[in-house]
Amino acid sequence: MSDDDRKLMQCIQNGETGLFERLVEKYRSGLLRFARSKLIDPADAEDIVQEAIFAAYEARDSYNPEFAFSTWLWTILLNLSHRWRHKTIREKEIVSQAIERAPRPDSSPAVGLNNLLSEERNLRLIEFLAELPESQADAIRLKFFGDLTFQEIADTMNCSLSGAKKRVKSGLLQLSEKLRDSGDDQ
Amino acid sequence: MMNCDQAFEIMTSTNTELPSELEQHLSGCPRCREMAEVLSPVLVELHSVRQVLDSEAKYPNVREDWGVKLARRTAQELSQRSARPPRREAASTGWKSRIALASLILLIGVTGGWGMMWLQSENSSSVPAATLFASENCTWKNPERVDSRSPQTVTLTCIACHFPGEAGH
Repeated sequence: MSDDDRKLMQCIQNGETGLFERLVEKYRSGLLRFARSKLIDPADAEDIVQEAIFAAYEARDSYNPEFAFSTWLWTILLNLSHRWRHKTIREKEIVSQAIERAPRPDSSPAVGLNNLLSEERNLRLIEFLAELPESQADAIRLKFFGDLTFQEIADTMNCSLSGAKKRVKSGLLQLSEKLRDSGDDQ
Repeated sequence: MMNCDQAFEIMTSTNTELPSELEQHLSGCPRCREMAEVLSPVLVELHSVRQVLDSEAKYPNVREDWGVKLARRTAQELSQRSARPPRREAASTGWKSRIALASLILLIGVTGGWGMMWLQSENSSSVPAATLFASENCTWKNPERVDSRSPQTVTLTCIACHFPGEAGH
């Protein structure tokens, strides 16, 4: 937890609401990477991140400085994305549909082949992530796209430190198996 | 000497430069070495996806977009509140609500009218209203203009620029 975050939130609670923008700028990239990897559609990802930021701003007076601001914000995003997933359809179907709708990369022979291969590998990994149990997939997303430490993952997902590590490790092993089965690591 | 738990933490670090201590641990620990070999392809893929997500994160400017969404949501909530039927228990205190509403309308009217006059005094009086609120006046897009404008003017430019319907254009 950054002491800067805590001080900023206390200033914001005391009425310097403009400072909230600094927190937004600090965390927005990680939140977007997480949301983008889970929801695929950039517009959906953008919406859910805005929703989380807005919710944190709205509830700024209820923030308890004893806890990390980042954990609070990530928990909001995690809950919103969880609710979004259950409000619509199963995650795997969402991902498959979004991937079908996603624009293809430039496939002109001169510049496109590497892009195309790389893009397909990335999409496949995102698809494999969606096939994992949600807690494992989210732990991996938080770790690799949100830049959270294992302790921060544990705090955000309300589990023990060893539980967070176990989720990431089990998820990674399953992803490895899926990649191997698809012949990708040859 | 690093233990297996620490080795896993470093293996899964988003930092691409791995410390020599990890190499030392892996050379002496067959279990972690095997783990590192198994996880290597997926870790490479995850780093690659991360780069793609970073490069694709070309979203609208946070100041503009967040502010606009905040304003839009506030406007929606206000319109929902005004459309909501009065609650039964409010009947006994209805006169309070009516006085509060009348005061609010009066305040908005006075502030809005004053603000519009202020805005016009800040700009050329011969400029039509539609041009007056053109995007160059948008303080989200041109944050440097905020300093030279009063809070009322900033609010009015936001409403006029992003909610032209509400501004009566």
